[in-house]
Amino acid sequence: MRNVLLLLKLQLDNQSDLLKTLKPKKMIPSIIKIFALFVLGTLGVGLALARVDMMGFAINRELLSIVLLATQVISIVFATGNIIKTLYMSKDNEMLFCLPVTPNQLFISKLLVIYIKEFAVNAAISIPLYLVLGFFEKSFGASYYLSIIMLLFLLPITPIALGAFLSIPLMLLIRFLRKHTVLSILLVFSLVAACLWAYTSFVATAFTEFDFSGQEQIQTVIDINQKIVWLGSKILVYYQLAGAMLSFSLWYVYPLFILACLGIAVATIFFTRHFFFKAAMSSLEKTIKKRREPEYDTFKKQGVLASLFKKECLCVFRSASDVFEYFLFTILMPVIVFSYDQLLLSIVIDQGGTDMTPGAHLMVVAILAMLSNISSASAISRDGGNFYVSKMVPVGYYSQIFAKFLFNAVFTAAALLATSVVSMFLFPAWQVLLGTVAVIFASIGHIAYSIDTDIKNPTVFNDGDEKSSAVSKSTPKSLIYGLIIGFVMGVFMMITAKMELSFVPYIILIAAAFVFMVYRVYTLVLRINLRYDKIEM
Amino acid sequence: MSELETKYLLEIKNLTKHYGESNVNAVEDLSISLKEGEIYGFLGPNGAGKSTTIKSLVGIYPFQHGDILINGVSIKTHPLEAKKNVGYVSDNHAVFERLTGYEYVNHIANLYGVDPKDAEERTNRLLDIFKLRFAFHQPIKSYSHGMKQKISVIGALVHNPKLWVLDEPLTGLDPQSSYQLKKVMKQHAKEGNTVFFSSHILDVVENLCNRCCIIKKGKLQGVYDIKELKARGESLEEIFVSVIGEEDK
Repeated sequence: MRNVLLLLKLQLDNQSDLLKTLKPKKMIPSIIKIFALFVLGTLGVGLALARVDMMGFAINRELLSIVLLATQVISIVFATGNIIKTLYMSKDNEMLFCLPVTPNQLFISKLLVIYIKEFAVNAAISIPLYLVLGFFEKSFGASYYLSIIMLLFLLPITPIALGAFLSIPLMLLIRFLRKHTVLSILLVFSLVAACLWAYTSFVATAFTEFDFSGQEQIQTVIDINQKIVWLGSKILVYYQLAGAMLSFSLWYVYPLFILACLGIAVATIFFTRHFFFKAAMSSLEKTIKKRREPEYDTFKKQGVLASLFKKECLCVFRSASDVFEYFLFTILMPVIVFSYDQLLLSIVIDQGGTDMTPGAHLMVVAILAMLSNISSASAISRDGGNFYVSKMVPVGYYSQIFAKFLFNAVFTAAALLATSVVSMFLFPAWQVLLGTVAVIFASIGHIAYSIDTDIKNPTVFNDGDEKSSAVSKSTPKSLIYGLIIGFVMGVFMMITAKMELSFVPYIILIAAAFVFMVYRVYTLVLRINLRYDKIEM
Repeated sequence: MSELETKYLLEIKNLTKHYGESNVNAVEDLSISLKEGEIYGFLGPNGAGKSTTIKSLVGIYPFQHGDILINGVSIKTHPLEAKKNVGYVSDNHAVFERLTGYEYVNHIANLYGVDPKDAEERTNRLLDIFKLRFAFHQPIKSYSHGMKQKISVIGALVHNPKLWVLDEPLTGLDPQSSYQLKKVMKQHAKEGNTVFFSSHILDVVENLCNRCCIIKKGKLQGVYDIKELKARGESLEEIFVSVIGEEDK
């Protein structure tokens, strides 16, 4: 047991500073931070649900049953990811396997790490949500609040068990997909596109089924309440738990639930233990495939810029996670924009709304274009320990940066052009084209800003094969900056839409975007040599 | 060849370098000159400033004072011209892990503007020496430490540099790979080029180098001709210990 606890502390300390020292003085800042986040979270949820409460939606046993199920579904997603990351693909496995502990102790300590993480995720979602629901529904008594505490400890068990079982086929799939990058990229994008389709279908169905306009609002609330009562009572296990939350007379459910949880936990440990060792060991192994190699290799001559561009493409496109992160919005841009536009046009009910749709369209296009540019925020950092190559080769820094710039700009521009083609089915061609020109200019400016930020403060101490955005400190900055640009562009077009100025606002927007682009590119070019020289590794 | 006619391939003149805002010099007033065709060892304890000097001379680090001339060209004023003559093997063996060995070497050859025929000839020769052909078309991330070191060496030599710089090249290599690498270093020097490398293994420096120098706390402690040392019956190990030890006292 002592070994298990030591292993647990070792792993937790590796991930968080909270328990590194047990001195209260050093723990207090972290505890205050966590508490502040809880307060903010509760206030946020409270504000979001205040409107729902005011509209007259019922907070009852059936709703609690649905909330319990929803939080469990979210927990399953997190737990599955956590299990894959902590059990099978954790970098500390190599070190932990060498320690003088039994494999079972290691396995149990890993499960405890997962339980603690899952507990934290569950607490972060559930506490604010249940407190706010209790605040709005005054009839909830002591049974409700005591149940929250108890459920916080019990609810993570089922998602972990389900996650542990789900992670086995997922790990096999991941291992297969690692060898087939193109297939994995196609699969991920198909999944995202399917989710997007499901979401837009759901919203469209909701708008056809329920009338959200002023006249029929009361009837709509009654309809939704009826649906909740129907659905909530069908979710047997969670309906019983929700009942126990509201009345001490139904607390006999808890011992049964605890027994079920224990059974699930034991079954999980029994079934997944063997797979853990096999999968964790194989993720540490490196193999060279035996192939028939040519006896004499021939080289192809390429220009410096072409070679740099090719290197960028190969390094990014060989990592499914990088492609997903960098090009999710780029590749799906036409689909997202088209779905969004269709949805927007189907729910707009008055002339004012109709006038604003081109602005709303432009906002989404601009935001997606800026999101497509975040790869530039790790342009230098993603080279990691290989960055020294940039400094030792006899190639000017301008050429090297231009290749990185081009790599991003080409794909964003291609996505914007494809998006403009599909948008022409819904909006006048002149509007779409002028909007696209403005977004392209703004996008170039944003790429230049993102690269400039990364050159200023790169992280070049990683091994160059890690998830790129994770190693760059500039990604969040670029993201926020991009969102602001997209938002400002969209709002400008929405405001000017009411003035009936035809193409004049587009010309103003193009001019502003052009000035922004020139300024950002000029700033980047001006500082490349100085900043590049300063990067030491 | 008289001293007047001697052509120096690398001249480090009064190099002084400190990091960021620090007022402690990592390298201070360092001056050494390397002749054509010689293998030169760069010795010093950990933190002596060896890697800082090497990274300054290959263009990775900027420096505050002094100059570095490679084949007569200043890395400070004409960096691109100077870099054309240098091949560098880093101490962290970082190579673009997602590329294959072939893609990496081809990319480096393109950046140096090497004629494909020349690049092919050099690469194929080194692939045979290092016995790396079986993995050349595999992703570098599947390589072992030694294989990464070898592909890094091939990348550094693909443009046949006049000055080949290696930062602790033998660390972590098995005896066979070590032997192969030393053989390639000797061959490169024999062809009239200069090899400059840092190491902690004094025996290797003694057996491989024509000359070596010792630095401590960024300052040059002495330059030694290995032949002369051997003629005097002195061992490099004794000198190293006395030089480093004396300062500590």
